Amino acid sequence: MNKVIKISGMHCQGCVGLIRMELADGGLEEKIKDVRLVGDMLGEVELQNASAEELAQAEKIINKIEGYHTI
Amino acid sequence: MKKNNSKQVELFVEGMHCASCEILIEKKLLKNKGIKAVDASLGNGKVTMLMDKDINIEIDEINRQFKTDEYTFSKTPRSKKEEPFIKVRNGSLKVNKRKAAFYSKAILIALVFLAGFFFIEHFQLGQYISVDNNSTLGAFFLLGIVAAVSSCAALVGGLLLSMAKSWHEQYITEESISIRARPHIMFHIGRLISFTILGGVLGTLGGLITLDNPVIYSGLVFFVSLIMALLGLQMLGVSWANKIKLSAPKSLLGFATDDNNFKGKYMPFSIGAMTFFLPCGFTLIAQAMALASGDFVRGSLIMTAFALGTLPALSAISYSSLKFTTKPHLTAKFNVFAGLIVLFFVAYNINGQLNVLGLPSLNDINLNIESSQNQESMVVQNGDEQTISFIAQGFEYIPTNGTTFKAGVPTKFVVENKGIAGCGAYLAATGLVNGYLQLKPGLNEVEIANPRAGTYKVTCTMGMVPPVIIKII
Repeated sequence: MNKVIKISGMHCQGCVGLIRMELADGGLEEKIKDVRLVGDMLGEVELQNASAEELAQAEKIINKIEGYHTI
Repeated sequence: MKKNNSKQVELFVEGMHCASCEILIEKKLLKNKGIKAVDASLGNGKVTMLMDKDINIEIDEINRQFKTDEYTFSKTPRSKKEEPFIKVRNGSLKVNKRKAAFYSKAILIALVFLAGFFFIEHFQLGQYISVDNNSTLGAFFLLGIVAAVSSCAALVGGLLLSMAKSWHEQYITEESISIRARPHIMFHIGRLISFTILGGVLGTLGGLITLDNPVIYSGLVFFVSLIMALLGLQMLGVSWANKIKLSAPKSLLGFATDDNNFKGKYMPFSIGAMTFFLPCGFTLIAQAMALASGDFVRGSLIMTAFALGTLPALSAISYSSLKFTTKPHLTAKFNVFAGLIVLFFVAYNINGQLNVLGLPSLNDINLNIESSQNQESMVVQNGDEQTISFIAQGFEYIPTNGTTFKAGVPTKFVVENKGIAGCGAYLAATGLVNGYLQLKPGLNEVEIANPRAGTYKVTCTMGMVPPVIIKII
């Protein structure tokens, strides 16, 4: 089942690349289905087949990056 | 990794828009074997890498790594010349929005910092601290604390801030904060040791020397300010400033500049030690007290206490420069902030010294407004002699019998000290009075045999006491 995390602070392709890289470095590379911009200062991470723990880990990783937070 | 096994490679980058792009590029490039450090700069559109000397990274490989991120790397700038921050086109002002966004936060923080500096200056904290021959070491310590958040901050603090950039670049490969802090620590140790030893020397010399040559001291401030200005412009990325490399002449400094020993060991120590000779007004007061003590130990303790008082504020400058350069993407912003502060301090120091030398300065704007509002001035004569009279109180010199006098008439320069404090205790009236006039409590008199026609400024040794213009006609 896919899960989507909304992220405030994303505004460019650099942000997309950075978040994707941080999640991959955190061991979640295979769980990333997509990272995308969806609006003004708003983006999403879509995870596939992620457990509750993996979802929590992804949120933790994203919230640690300066300038972004999950909503 | 020792620096001589590394090489620095700089590439131009297209496609960056924000700090996240900087972080992404830095982190991704660091994953390449052999790359030790990376600094991406949105403002300059460049990335600087420190890597093993025997590594050759192909640009095509880098571009392949970043293809999905839509960045393009090249050895030469591919896009048209970098747009300036502000320009005039077709009669209207155009602001580079990208640069404005990048610099806005740093500029705002710099403005807040300067507002805080002026706020503290407004209270003229120096007037609350008076020292004399009988003051305790605690009083000199307090004097140091006040000095470090006042005029000395502009001189010594500004110098320290401007050196931070080159020290950071020297240790860019080091992750350990203790190693990166080494030049800062050596600076502060050098300063403390020199103040201790040279304070004792002053005490020993006693009345053999005097510290009262405004021209020499002003020259020193101008020289140091020139170096600070260059470093400040380099921090702001001004291209012509970056082409000028500062290096101490080896013949002059010998061992301290030997390349084998240079790295973080002796140059910062020497610079810290040499701050003893920077003529911050408060430092001059402490030095005069050390001189007057006539004793090595007392002189040494006075200057040590003073230097210790300045240590917290100067350490805060070191700490902030280290903290904000731990992350590459913060370095560029810190450089903008620090560059603006340094340039302001340069202007502040130079303006003060222009007052000391009696030359036109920014203070004249205020003085011209005041004098146009108060046209009355008196030429006072008492037979064949005239008297220029002041009251020194708080943090100002108050003329009591006018500001216009006759040339060629034997003149008494009289200052009644009714509680002037801080660096105001050392009055400068270059051209009228030789050297500095140390104001003792009560009446202080100096004979001026043949005052020449001209305009003179009466202020303190740092030019901080609001100058009073005296006209000799």
